[in-house]
Amino acid sequence: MDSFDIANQFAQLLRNLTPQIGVLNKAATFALKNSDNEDYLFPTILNVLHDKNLNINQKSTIFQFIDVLIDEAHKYNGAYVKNIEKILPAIIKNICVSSSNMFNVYQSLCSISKHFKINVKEYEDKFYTDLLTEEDKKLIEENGQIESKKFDDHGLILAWKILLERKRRSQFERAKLLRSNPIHETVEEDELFKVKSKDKYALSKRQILSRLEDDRELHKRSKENLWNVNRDKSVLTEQEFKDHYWNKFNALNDEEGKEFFNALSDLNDLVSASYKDQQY
Amino acid sequence: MVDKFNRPTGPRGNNNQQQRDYNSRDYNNNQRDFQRSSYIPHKSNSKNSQSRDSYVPSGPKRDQYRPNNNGFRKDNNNIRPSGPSGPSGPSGTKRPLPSGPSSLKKRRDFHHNNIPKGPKIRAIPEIRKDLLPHQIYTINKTGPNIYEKVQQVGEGTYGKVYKVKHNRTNEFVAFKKLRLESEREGFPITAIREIKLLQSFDHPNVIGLLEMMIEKNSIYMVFDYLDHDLTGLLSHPDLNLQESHRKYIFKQLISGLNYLHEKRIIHRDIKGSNILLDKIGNLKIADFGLARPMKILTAGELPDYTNRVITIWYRPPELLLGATDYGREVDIWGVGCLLMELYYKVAIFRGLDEISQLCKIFNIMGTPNMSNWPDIDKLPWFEMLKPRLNLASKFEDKFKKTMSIEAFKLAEKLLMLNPKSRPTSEEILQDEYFKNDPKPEPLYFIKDFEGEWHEFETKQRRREERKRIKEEEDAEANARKERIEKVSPQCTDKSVKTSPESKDAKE
Ligand SMILES: Nc1ncnc2c1ncn2[C@@H]1O[C@H](COP(=O)(O)OP(=O)(O)O)[C@@H](O)[C@H]1O
Ligand SMILES: [Mg+2]
Repeated sequence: MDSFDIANQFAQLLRNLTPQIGVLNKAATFALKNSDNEDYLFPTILNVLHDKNLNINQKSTIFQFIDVLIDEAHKYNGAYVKNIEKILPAIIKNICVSSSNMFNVYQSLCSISKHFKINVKEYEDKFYTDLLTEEDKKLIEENGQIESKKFDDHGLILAWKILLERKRRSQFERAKLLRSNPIHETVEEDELFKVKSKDKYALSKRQILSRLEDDRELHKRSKENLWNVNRDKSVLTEQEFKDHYWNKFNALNDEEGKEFFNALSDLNDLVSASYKDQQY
Repeated sequence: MVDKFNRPTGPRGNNNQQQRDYNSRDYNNNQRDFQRSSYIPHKSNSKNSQSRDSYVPSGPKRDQYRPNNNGFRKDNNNIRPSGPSGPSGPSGTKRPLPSGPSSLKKRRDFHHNNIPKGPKIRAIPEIRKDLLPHQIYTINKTGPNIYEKVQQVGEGTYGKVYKVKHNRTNEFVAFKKLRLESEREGFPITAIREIKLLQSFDHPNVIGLLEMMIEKNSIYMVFDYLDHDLTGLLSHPDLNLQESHRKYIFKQLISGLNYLHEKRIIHRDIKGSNILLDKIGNLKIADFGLARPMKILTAGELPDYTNRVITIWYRPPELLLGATDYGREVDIWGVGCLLMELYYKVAIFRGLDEISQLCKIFNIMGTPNMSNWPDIDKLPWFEMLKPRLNLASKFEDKFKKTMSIEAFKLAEKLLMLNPKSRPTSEEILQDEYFKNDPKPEPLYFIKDFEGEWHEFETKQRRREERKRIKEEEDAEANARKERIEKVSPQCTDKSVKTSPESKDAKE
């Protein structure tokens, strides 16, 4: 297969992504296995994102894919990491055309950021604060329009700033809405949530419902690894139990730790005594 | 006082009262340990249980030696039949003794005059005198027809629920059958969670597990039988609740919920069909299929639970907006919905899916704003499901006139959009609603209701009613058609009938 074919195949994978860990992993593995062709493959991501037929949910899924890709990249000498960082701002701009994608992008961006040696805690924390400036608040009162900010940054930092800017805009619109006079009539759901809007960046009712289901499913899967331990040696010790599980909830001091192991061994004795037949 | 490690065991014990007190104290200890999460099994503790002559390791506890039939019957007021262990705190290991079921006590709530009987009573063949009780096992083969299915009373996610009669005692119990055919991965962990929780309960307003039964490939949970559930009862055409009756029901509901919440358990499926009622309105919260104990969190840690819980009509806005770090407040919304139902007989928010459910809620309660729910935009699905219009609350206009003022004010608090603004179950118990007259009063009049009213039968009755109406209408239409055809053979009846079903859904 030549590079062109591989890029085509990759584009196909991206278009057909579904938000399931297995599917995301498969696409990431494909990209990483073919990292010889990285230069052909990484621009494909933006190409696919710019495709007019790609819907809002698919855009969000592609960002989840990028999260998985970066997370796996260390196994392949950090392939793609540098290139992705370059196009990250453009990707975020594209995916956040719909504010519906903001939460998922935020979560993935937090996890992506861990793989860079840049401290972004400041931005992570900001996401949950009131981002409106005094001027914004004045504009809201005057029923004015929000003014966009421009940034000189690059890469990861710029990506964060774009996301926060998107969030600020969303807060601005909401504040304006809350100033309007409340309606006393009963309204239909189409009106209340604008689920039948002609705006191509708005989600339809069906898209929203499938998104909720996908999110729940992903949340469930994410818990399957909760108890995984990276174990260097192939032996299982009670120390591991204490460090990874018990201490997680309530760290024991030395004295308590000793008592803890005593108690464990008592329990073990008790259990083996309960068998009628000799164990081991 | 009874010594901690020498107290009478299951069938041989004969001081029930003492034992019961002891149990509850022991339980409280566990509770505290659990909350501190620093419980370490004590050395002396396990040593002791090991040396106790009556200690039986986990296993066929139910099948231990039991005094012979006659003796058991004669003074069984004082004897706890053996069975699944009684209330045990979440950190189970600390309890040294299997204590027998709390079934006796549980049954007493409702059957004061009936002598409680062990679920299965058998004559034990002669026992060799030189054996200690724990060395004797019996293999119980329940004879045929000890239990007789009377009728099905429930159909749920996991399996069917039957009303069952014990042929020797003539008592009724409920069998909840676990559906296992579809379980490829063995005994479902969710069922284990449900059973474990049920075993730990000891409160008049919370259902307790009498025992587990295994028959061929089926597993049953056995409960006290209650004649009605709230959904079924509220659908009774002759039901005419007074304020005192509503208060009687609601007070018990909150007491039961408060018990669960104190134990750090979130029910996560509060709704009418999971609230059981006996012949005079004594209430028990049931169905712990979705319940879970709350996680113990370290500082700064947030809980992370699934939000795929609670039947949609009773699901609070934070869950509809994707919260996974929710708490007991989700149950409070549910009982808020039920308080309204005690007045209106049907749920007040009846959506078809998450979006329409939120729409119903916002239309009545108004859309949230900066002052009543400032951090709503932190919820995962807020951007997807944020209201694009500003709606005023219509709750007062709609409901104030038809409720007592105290009930209305309480409902308003329970149905706060912002979970942080909802009162705790403890606070609800102190509410004006319960302080002011009229005082709660049992529903003696429902004793006269014919039949049993569970959601299951209600649905069945409704189906039959619909079928009857449809048949009547069809017959009428046919007759009309025939008449018309007789007059002019080309003309056909094209009018579309709306079935009662579709009308219901639109309401
Ligand atoms: N102990 C009982 N006595 C009488 N009816 C019961 C009892 N337990 C359950 N039911 C009936 O069976 C229905 C289903 O039982 P439930 O425990 O709620 O199971 P599910 O998890 O399947 O909903 C209930 O709604 C109720 O009407
Ligand atoms: Mg149920």
